[in-house]
Amino acid sequence: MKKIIFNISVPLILIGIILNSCNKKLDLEPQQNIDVNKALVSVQDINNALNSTYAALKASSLYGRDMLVLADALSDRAFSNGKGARFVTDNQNATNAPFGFWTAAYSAINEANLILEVIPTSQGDAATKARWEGELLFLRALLHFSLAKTYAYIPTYVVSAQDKGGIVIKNTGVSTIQQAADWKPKRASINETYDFIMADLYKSLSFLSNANRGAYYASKLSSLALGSRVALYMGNYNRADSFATAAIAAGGIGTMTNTTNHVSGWRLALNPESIFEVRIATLPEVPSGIANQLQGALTNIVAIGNTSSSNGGFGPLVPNMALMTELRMSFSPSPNTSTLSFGTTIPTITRREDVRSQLYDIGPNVSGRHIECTKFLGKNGTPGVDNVPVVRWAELYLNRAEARARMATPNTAGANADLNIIRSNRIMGFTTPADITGPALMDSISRHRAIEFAFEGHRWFDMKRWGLPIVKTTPVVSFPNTYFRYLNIIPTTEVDGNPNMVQNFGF
Amino acid sequence: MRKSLLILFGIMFFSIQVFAQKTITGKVSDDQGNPISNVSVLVKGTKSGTITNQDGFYSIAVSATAKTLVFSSLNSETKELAIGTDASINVSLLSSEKSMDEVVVVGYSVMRKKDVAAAISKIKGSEIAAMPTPTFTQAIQGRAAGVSIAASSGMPGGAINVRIRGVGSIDAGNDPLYVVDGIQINSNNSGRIGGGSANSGTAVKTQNNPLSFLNANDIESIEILKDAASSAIYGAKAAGGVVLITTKKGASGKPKFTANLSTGTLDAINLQKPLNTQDWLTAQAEGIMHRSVGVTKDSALRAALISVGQLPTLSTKEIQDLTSSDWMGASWRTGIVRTAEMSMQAGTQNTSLYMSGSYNKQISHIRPSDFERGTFMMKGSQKASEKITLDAQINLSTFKQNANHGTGGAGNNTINAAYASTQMLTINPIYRPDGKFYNLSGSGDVWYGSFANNPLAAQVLQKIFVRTNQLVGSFSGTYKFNQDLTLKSMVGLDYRLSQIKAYHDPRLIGGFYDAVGGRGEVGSNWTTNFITNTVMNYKKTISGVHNISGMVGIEFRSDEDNSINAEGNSFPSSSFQNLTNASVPVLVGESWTGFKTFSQFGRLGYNYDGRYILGFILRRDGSSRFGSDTRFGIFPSGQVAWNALEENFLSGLKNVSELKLRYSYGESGNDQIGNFDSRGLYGASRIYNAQAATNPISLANPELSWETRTEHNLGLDFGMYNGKITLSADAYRRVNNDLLLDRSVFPSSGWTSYSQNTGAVLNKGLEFLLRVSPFEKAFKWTGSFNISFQKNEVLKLYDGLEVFPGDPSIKVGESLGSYFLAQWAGVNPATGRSMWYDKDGNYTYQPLVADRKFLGNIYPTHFGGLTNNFSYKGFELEVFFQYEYGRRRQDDQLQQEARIGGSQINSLYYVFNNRWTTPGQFAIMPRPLLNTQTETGSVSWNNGDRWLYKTDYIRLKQLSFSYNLQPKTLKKLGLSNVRIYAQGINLWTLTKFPGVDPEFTGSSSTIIPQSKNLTFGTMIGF
Repeated sequence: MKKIIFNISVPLILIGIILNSCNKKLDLEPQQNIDVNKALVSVQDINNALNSTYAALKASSLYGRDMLVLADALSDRAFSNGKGARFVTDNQNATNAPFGFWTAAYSAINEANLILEVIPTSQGDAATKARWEGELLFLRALLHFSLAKTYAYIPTYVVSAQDKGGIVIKNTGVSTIQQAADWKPKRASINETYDFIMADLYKSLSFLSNANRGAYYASKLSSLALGSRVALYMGNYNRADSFATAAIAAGGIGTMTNTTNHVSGWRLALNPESIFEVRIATLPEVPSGIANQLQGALTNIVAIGNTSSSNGGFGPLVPNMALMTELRMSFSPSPNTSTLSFGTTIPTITRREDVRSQLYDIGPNVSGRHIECTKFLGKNGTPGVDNVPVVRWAELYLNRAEARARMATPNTAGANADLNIIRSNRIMGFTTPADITGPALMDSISRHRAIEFAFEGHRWFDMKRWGLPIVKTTPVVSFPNTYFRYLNIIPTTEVDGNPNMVQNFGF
Repeated sequence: MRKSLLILFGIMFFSIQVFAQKTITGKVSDDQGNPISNVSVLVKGTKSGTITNQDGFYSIAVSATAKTLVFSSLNSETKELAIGTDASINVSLLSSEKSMDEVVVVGYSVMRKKDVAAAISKIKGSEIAAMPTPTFTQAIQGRAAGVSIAASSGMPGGAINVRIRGVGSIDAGNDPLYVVDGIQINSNNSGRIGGGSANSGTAVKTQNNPLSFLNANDIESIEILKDAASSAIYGAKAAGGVVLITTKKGASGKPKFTANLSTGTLDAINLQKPLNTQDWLTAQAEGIMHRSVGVTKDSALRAALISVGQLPTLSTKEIQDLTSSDWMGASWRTGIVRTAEMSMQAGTQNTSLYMSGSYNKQISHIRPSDFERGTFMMKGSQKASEKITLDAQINLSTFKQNANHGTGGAGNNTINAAYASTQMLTINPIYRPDGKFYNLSGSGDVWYGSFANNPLAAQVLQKIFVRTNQLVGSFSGTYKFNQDLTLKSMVGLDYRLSQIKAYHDPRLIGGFYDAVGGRGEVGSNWTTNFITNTVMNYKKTISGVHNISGMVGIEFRSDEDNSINAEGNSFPSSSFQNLTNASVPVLVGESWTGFKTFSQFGRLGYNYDGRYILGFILRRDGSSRFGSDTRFGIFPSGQVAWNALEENFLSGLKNVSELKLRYSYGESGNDQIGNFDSRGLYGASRIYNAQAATNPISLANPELSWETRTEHNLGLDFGMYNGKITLSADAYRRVNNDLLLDRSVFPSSGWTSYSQNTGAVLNKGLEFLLRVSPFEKAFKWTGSFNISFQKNEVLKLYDGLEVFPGDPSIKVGESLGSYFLAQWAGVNPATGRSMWYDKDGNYTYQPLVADRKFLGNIYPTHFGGLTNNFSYKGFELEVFFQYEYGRRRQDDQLQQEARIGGSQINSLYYVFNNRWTTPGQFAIMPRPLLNTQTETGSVSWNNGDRWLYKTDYIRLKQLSFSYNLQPKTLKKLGLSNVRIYAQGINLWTLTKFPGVDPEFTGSSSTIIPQSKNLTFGTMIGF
């Protein structure tokens, strides 16, 4: 019996000794990440977190590619030639979800909100705090605006029967699992959404001083410039006019380029016209896979004049004949009408007075040659690494021209003056013609917007807000302006299981 | 009871046998007559005993009252013999492999198979010894019921997917725990550059299977703990099942040497047939014609000619004369398998030693993939005194792999010949007239097709190289308090260093190659996995019928994963390939992750006279992975069994040799999540404008805990004619509760998910293993057949949801791994366009979200194997079939190859011959169509289940024929054993799968398919 007791007690004692001493040993801290409680304490911490909100814009699904390239693939000025099988169904307007930045945008908005919530009690001085708040409010407005114009109707053209509302307005941070589980959002109305965006921009203006950190960061000028676009989308033309006017008066970052430096401006890392530009400086910052990069999506060309190396990328999205005709470009021989391919031949390109036509060149032979857009050519020294202009000077004039042309009482003279600033800076040997009015004025503004911002992601949203039907000849696509795919599907993860949420019409 | 107490009393105080009256001597031998040493000889009911010496002799003093002697050893059956009047008792013991007393490793201790009540599969090392696979897991494919093993590809040393009794987890891992001689192995893939666990999406360059460190010939046995009751002894790590590997050890007696040499070839099972230039032109012309209205067949052909640089004016004859390069033939080759190994088993009464060395080389059937390994193992045991035994073992291995670029989605797949060789336009030459590769950067060669590079050049120029050095070793001491009680302490280490190098050659064309002057990447990953445990085992028989056993132990494990990596661009030329020659640094990185566990565990067993068997297991586990509030968990299990044949009332059953009913219930846990998933963290992986950026990356869940697997298992073991027929049947019902789920939240919160314990998944199944050995004389036949049926069902998600947000294929009532897609309805005979079904069963070109339905899943409904072994006079034939049924898989590779007429890529005759060409034709492939095959006004051409196929197959996995030299000849040669063998792997397959090979997991695209092998070898023992 004693032995059995011994046999049992020895291990029990041994285990008892070790039992309590080991709990502490199980504490382990990660090394390359830090605990959330240590993350937003010092001024440096908040600077780091603010940088992250900017960095979020670099995502391929956001300004890293899609806000520009996909928007143009959907529009009537670009053609997907099938290289790498990219953007083909988008170009046919047959995709439910061409855009996929909902999650990335709200994640960045949440980051901004989390920082905004700690700023009042943070260690920064008053001026720093004001700058932080102003920049974050601009970023929050930009992200909400990007979502609103993609996932909902734009106020100036709403198909009421198909209107399911604006987007989810998010102005609080979520930092615990309880908050995350309790978050059952609903869509604000379109007007509420745009009012919220405008309010953020107004607030950011009140926080930001005239001092600025250059085009890579939000500034008073960028809030004014974005405000002019948002007001235009809202149909608030007087406000669009005044925001653009205030921006032009304020200046301070960038300047309008002209016929001599417009094209060369596109060859610089920082576009001289940029008011706000997302900085993408090094190779590790771009997504891997050349087709996921801005340059790779638009061109194979590695350098101007190099028609043999295809190292620039994939070049699946190219200008269509409509755009090339507007640019007054002609080719000998002409491209194949259905593939826009020149086969293996290098055509003779005739360019005329519009300097913007110099931003398109014949590409190397990768399954045939195409005319490709050269706005992005790895300007930071490595193929695929380009900054991305978000707002630039030409837009101020084009926004204001449109606002003035569409006001309740149109300011035709002002609109013509703005349009002439664009034309004189882009058309060689431009002589000021007589003022145009009515549809002719709007046509000209519309055409110059399409040319000026080709492959910068404006045209699709312009078509959407003007209620233009989709009419393309290559490929043959024709949809009325009530077509449900003008709106992107809202991710099913947002809708499924949320009784408060409504999916867009038709999905 | 009183009697037993008295006996105990007697044992304790009268252990010296003062009443000894006579001495019995004898010899113990095996069924072949060879002496067995170290057999315990015990007077039944006493402590009085001895062991046999090297020649099998023993001598024991017994009292006049002693009635029975018990002979037992770990490797043989136990026999009881009555003490008569003879002074000499000679015994022959069957080795346990042949007897009913077969021993099974159950985790921290061993048990006789007879006493096991849980579901454990055992595979003997001898069954897999000659399989030419670098990883033993592949060799046990099809041999254990309920264990589904699939190589993710045919890459030598690549990943093997092992699923024991289905999958119970949605987001956490489903891998089993591997324990080699008591050391829990870290089985993360280390074929990556950059840090983190293998699951965290770092730059995986190739598959590198850490289990490759072990030479299959060093394995004595593999036990698979399948049910929760048996695996509960490994607690929170065991929900995926446990694979226990026991390596060979020394044996006392004359040293035994074994050498094995084999060599063989390796070939593609099935090569796809790409189109020649003429047929490609035909298809391409159709594609052009179908895309544009009003284009004639002839002008389309002219356009197709122009697109590949030919004159549009070529005559039919000239088109016929266009050459076709054989990209397939040039890409694939006959590979080589080579093995050389030698081992030694030796020992004396107090010492045993096992040594082995092996060399293994496999050259894959596609360049540059290969695998080369050397292993060295040494295992020694020394009895220091009657009470103390010391054991030490070390296994060193080094293996290196050259890997294809772009395999399994890692890197640019268009330069991977396994992916691209079927898609190369045959109008492109492979080589230039001077013998150099065509279309290298700067060559000015004219090149056609969507893929920019010559994949054959890439096979040679692109480099991915991994070298893994691994050390697994342990030291342990055993203290024997007395016959019944032992204490064993073990300290073990599993250390692995993988060094990876990738070189992107500037002679290739593209953004990672000539555009940046070449790119070099290097990385080192090392894993330090330390484990120590102390285990006390107790065993006692009281009154001859009450068998008690107990075990208690504690264990501590710490596992750390480090990595460093660097990357640079711009090499002076391709002659420079060392990273130090890169003139532009691109990045450097470091990472670290780790976990610690602390556990206490125990096992209690009781059996009454071998008739009624009871067992209990309890384990308490703590893990650093879990939330601070829920760090420790308890895992209990219980098992009962009834050996019915031991009952007197059944002893009359004729011919029945075994009849055992088993039932077990248990709980085990799953902790296969990221090491810091319970923590709320900020990361610093972003930058903006050259400045650091930090952002929140996870939400804290201090209550995060393991998921619990509970399982009922009912089993039957039945044997007839003295074991000539045996049947094992198991039925189980397994529920994984409190799943470690990435519970999704609405993304507008700023988050997509957080880890939470919620939801449940059910697996139920049946397993049968039938063994027959009807002939055991000169002609021997043993056959073994196993089949497993399994069914999976999601029982519960969270918040009462029926469908998992974001993944509608995860639905309550449906199986995991399901496909939830729009159903493809075939080709419209009128137009040649692909059609789909809408939810009402009507044809549509635009299936919507609501039209999706459940269309099969990736898990087989039943699978297993059939082995037959025949031998006659030294000739031996083994035939092993493996089969799988009920699985569907997306064939990504075929999908790519089916872009007929869609892009400037080549297609297959399978697609070409089945394509739609004329109105009214019923075709299985739609019409060729330029620009990706997607029709205007239609969803994408590959929408829905368009490329899902059944992967059912039966495969002749192994066919081997061998000849063992006869004893007479051996004696002349002075050898103990000579075996000459020929072996074929994957020689024959029956399947309707249209792709290259049905045996794969994950994506079929870019992988190296399975190969067939032919090996010849000799095994010599002396």
